[in-house]
Amino acid sequence: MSDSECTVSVKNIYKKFGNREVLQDLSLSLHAGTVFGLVGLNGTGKTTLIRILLGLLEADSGTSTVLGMNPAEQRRGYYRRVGVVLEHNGFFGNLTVRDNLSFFAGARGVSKQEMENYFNLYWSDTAIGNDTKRVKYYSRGQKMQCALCRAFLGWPEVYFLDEPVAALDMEAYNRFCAMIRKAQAEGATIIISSHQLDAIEDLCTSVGILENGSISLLEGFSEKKNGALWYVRTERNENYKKDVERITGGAAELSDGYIQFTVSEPCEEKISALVACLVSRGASVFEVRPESRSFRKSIRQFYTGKV
Amino acid sequence: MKDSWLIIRKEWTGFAKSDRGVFLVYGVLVLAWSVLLSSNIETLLAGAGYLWLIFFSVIVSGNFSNTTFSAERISGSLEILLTSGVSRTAILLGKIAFVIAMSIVLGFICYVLAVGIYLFKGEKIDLILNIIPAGRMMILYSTACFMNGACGAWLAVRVNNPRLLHFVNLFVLVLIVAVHAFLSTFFSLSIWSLFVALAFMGGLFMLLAVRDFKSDRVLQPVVY
Repeated sequence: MSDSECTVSVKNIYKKFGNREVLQDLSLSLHAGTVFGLVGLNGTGKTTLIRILLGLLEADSGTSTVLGMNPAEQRRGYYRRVGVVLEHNGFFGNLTVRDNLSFFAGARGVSKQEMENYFNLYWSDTAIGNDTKRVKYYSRGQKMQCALCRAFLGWPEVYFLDEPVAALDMEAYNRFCAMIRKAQAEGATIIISSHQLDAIEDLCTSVGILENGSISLLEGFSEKKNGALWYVRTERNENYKKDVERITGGAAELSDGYIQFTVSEPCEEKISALVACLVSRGASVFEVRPESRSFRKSIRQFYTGKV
Repeated sequence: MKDSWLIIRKEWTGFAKSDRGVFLVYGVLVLAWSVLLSSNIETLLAGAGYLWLIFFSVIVSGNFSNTTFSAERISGSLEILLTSGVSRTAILLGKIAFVIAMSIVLGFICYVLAVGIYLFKGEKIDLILNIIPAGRMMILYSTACFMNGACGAWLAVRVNNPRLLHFVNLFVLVLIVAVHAFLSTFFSLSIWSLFVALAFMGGLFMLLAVRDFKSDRVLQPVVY
């Protein structure tokens, strides 16, 4: 991918706070339509990276370009093209959500009519649709919905979302997912930093783990996400493994007491045929189950050094 | 300019929609200060006793600085404001302008009330004749508001503990007034020299605030 194709490009970024190096030689390239999941332990520099990409902080060295602009230098035009959710919801407490939105619409150059249409279409039937209450009296989840409402205002081209699903209820979460998918379909680049791995798995097309100041891309995330990992608990036998591969069409591995296989398509209908085949060969099949959250396992393995 | 106006409007809407208790506190403060001022109105118009007005400015400006700068830094809304598309300088100037304007308006109300209370007590005062001294005092008060507003903006970025903001703001003002009073014992300094000193310091704090507002410092966490 060439630099001109990237909407977000970070090259050899270093950032130090006092003696502590938070980001070290960090590089990252994202193209339009990517939903990038940024994960990492607390204090590894996820928010610092987002702040640098927003031009709020300046890197000690290295370059960052978003939409062909240097965030630190081209602030005004730049902020009109990005949607932001940061650590705090960042709303003016004494104002209603509509007052708040009016301010941000004015700052971003979104017309009042456009803002009204957007709010009425996407948010009027939600917990923040009641316009009379001041934001400071909202619950944490409602404040987060307000922050999301602001971030998607005007449908920007790039989104930086720091913990966007914290405190969201199921309905609000589904709405958020729908908006992310709409933005993605329109070619937006979205960076989601979160500890909510389920949300990362649901929404992201690629994932990077921030550790020791740099990003390691989680290889095969897309395949792991789309494919289903299944376990068959039976005797350890090379022939059984071959049967599994033949019947399911997936790649199988032998492990302690399990045959583990991955398939790219739903294979529930093949399971009964597989069990019948294994039993006919004299195998004792104790358990057959899907492992749907393989992403969570990959992350755990990353940190325990098994990958 | 348009962006600064957007900020002023936002600050005004936020203030206008404050809880009723806020207005009650400001009401009581203005009334109490007016009563104090009314008992010193003659010395004030004679060019002395201006400290009553100047120190009122630090109370009001300090408080508005707290809500417009520090409270937003604590709540995190300042960080979002910086990413809103409005330039940092416009944000700073808009906020300082709001602080100064509100302080001047409250000071003016206080002054007018003080004269009203004075007249209500049955005292005589020639309002026409005293327009110039009264204007002079209002200019001095406005300059003090400018100094306090700029100082409060700078301190809100510079001092990580917002509880110290009021104290340091007051300390700076006391220092300027004390130096002026001290020098007045050796040289015949008019009230305009204090005006110049306040304007100069206000300008200096404004430059420092602009510089620090553009740095990473504005994002540093607030500590108590």
